[in-house]
Amino acid sequence: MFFTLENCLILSVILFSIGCYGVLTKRNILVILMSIELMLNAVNLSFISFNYFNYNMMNGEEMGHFFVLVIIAIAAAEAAVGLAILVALFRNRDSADIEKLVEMKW
Amino acid sequence: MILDALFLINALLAVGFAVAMITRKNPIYSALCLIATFFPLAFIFLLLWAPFVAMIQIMVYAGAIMVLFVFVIMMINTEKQELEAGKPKWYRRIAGAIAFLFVIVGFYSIVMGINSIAPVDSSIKEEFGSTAALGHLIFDKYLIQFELVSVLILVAVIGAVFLAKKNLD
Amino acid sequence: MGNTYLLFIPILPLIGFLINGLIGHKLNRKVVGTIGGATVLGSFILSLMTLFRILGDGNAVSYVAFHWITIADLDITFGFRIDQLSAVMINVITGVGFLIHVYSNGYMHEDKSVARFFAYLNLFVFSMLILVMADNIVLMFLGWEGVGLCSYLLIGFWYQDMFTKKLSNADAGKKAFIVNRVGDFGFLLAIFLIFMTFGTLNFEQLSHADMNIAGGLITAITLLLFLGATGKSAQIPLYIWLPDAMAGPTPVSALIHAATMVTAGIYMIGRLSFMFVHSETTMLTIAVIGTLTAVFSATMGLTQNDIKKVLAYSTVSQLGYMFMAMGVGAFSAGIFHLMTHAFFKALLFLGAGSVILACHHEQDMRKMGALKDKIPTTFWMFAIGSLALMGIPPFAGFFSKDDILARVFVEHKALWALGLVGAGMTAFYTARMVAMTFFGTSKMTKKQELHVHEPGISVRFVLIALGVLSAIGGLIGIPAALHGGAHFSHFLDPVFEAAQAHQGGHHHLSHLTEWILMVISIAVVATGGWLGFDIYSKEKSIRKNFVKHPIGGKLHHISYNKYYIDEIYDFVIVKSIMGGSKALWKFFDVTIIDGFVNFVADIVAFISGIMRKIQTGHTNSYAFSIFIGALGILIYIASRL
Repeated sequence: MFFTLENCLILSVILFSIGCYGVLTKRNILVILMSIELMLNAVNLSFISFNYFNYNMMNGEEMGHFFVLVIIAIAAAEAAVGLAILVALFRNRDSADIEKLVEMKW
Repeated sequence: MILDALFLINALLAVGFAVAMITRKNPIYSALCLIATFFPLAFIFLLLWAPFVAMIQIMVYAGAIMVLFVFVIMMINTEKQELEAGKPKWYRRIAGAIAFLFVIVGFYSIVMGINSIAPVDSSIKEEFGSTAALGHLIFDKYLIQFELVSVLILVAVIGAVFLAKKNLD
Repeated sequence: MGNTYLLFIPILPLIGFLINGLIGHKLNRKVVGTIGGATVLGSFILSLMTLFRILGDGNAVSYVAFHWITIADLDITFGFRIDQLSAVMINVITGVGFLIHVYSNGYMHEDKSVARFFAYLNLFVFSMLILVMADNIVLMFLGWEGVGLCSYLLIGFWYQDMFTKKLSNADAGKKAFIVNRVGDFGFLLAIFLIFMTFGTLNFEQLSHADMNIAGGLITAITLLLFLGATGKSAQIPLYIWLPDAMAGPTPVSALIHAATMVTAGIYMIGRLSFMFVHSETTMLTIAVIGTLTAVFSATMGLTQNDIKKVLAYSTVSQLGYMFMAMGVGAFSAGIFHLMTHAFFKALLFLGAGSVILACHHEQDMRKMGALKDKIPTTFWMFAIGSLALMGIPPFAGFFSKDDILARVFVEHKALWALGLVGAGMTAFYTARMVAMTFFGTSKMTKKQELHVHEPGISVRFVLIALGVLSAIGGLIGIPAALHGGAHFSHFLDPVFEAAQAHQGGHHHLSHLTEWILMVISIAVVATGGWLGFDIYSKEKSIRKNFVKHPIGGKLHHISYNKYYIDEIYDFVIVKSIMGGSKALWKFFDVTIIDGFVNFVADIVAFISGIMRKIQTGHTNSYAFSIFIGALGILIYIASRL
């Protein structure tokens, strides 16, 4: 019995952690953004599995699905804005290296 | 039984591609690996009776968002940047430790907390997760929220266009 | 409430103050002067009404506007109570005040900030009226502080000018204010003690309170009150501010520093006489301090060359006589002298102001002389004032001063003798002043002499009015020995009833003794006056010889330099406080206070120096903290499962 809520959630946690590791270790802003997308997907997975495995508790309503749709929309918006910033940044700095963005500390 | 097998295969594929994504030095490979991660995930969504979400997953994520990524990668041509160096080793170890702790604590929480959740009911409705069912939900019960999301996307589109304009004052 | 009109007595000048103070600078100066004078005139009319009412039935008039401060047992009203004493005071204040306002219209006609002047003057009249009308000590204190403030503002009215080489007019104002602060401190402590002891601050209730409490306490209270009085009324040791207060415009000197404000101390003692008589020590102190001040400042007045300084020391000296009277329990005599002094000293100051104007803002008497025929009205009025100040019958000063001396004679022969010497000196310096200013040869430049002129009609009117008052003002108090009715003293009797009852019957002097005393005092005064006039109206060699004589020269030098009291105060008090403060600043402030503050700052800087390393500026590290936080929350949730 692999197809259980536990395993779905464990898969979700593993994907989330991988995304987390990517965000922390990558220097390329693009890859960091990708890792964030992966983390969002991991969350999506847990929403979907909760909705499925708690069918009765939800009265058959697809609320988790709705959440996922919202998250996908937000992820799309985030990616669009993030990439736009990245393009603007690259145009000014000629670099996508996050190590070079140290203006937060003056 | 067949569900178990499908889930296991897809789960392993998703994890594998995810690991591959963060280990690639070239961002274009990372992007491709990420797209590859989305497909097994979409398959798992199907197993979880979420066909509409699975389709959206492929269309929006793999189709739209990742295409955007690939375009940007192509456009800004990061290959000449020396990003391959990566972070120092000690830093990656700490990051790894944190990620690992997430897994451990997540495992613990899942194992300890799962008892409070009722087991799966086999008498699931036929139309659960279908486009029609979700359509009712979106355009009826959660209409306002849905419209708010559309406003959000509009704002994001305008913002993105503004930011990507050539002359940023 | 038939007594509501009492409220308007102080309110009218307040309205004048508000109009002149707020929009006066936009008004025509004539309008400003009219508002200033008319409001005080209105108060004067109301005061006269009140006086006649009290004359009619002899009952005090009171009115409570509202309850000002009410905390537990403490109930301080904003209320007025006019009895015979305050009726005299409000009439003196508004009457003389009105005349001085009229005078100021003429005197200040060239000044550019005339609205400010009249605003301050009206505020002063308001405060002074509050002071004397108050039915409790706290309200009295409000007026007390108000007049102090106005005094400060008006002394420094020409703040941009220098008074002496070292002292600017603004400094003189500050000096007056700070010296008064010492006295006010005593007054305030006395108020606290009174409330603590008697549980009330209302004069009416206090007068019925049982004063037979521990002797030390009542002495402490009255001595502290007297300290307040010495500050305001310029007695030893706090008199030093008054001579420098002459930095203000002359009408101010006349109104505030001669006629009204400086008598506040006398009034306060009169008002609380029922309390003062219960402490022998305080009464003796008052009498001694008053006598010493009277004589001491008279000696300083002997050698001054500034006409206003002479008058200032004379004021201090005359206030000393009033305190002398208070000290021996001759309260009505003291108040009588207060009133006549208000008339003739205001007259003298205003006359001096008119002389100063005539001589083109020259105050040094050595540069005057032979003004008698050039400004006759001023001269005659000044002469009347001088005779009144000397105490020549039948002018006002004679009756009041003689009344005081007679009463002092009964109580303390030694003080009487000193007072007599002071009276002689008073006559001497007054005659000297008149001689130097109006007689002898003119020492002015040709240009100045052409400029000499009589003052305007309004000024002359005021001088004549005050001259009449100084001439006949004393007649209301002719003693029984001269077949008079002593009306003034009988009028005030109800106020001092309680005090006099405690003191017991006076040893009344026989009429013969009074006659003898009068003759002695007239003889002394006449001698002093003749000497002063004779020496200073002509070029006598005795003047030069006296200054050249080794002892005489020293005496002259010491008197001229006011016994170096200012310098001694400066050295003993100001320098020591400055030294102490400097030491505290150098050591305590810099080392300990600053050290502590800097230490705290250093700790913060040190910790911040460590903490700022957390802020790397690298985006990853911020993501790091987010994840650590999320992990923490997750661990917390997991731990609760």
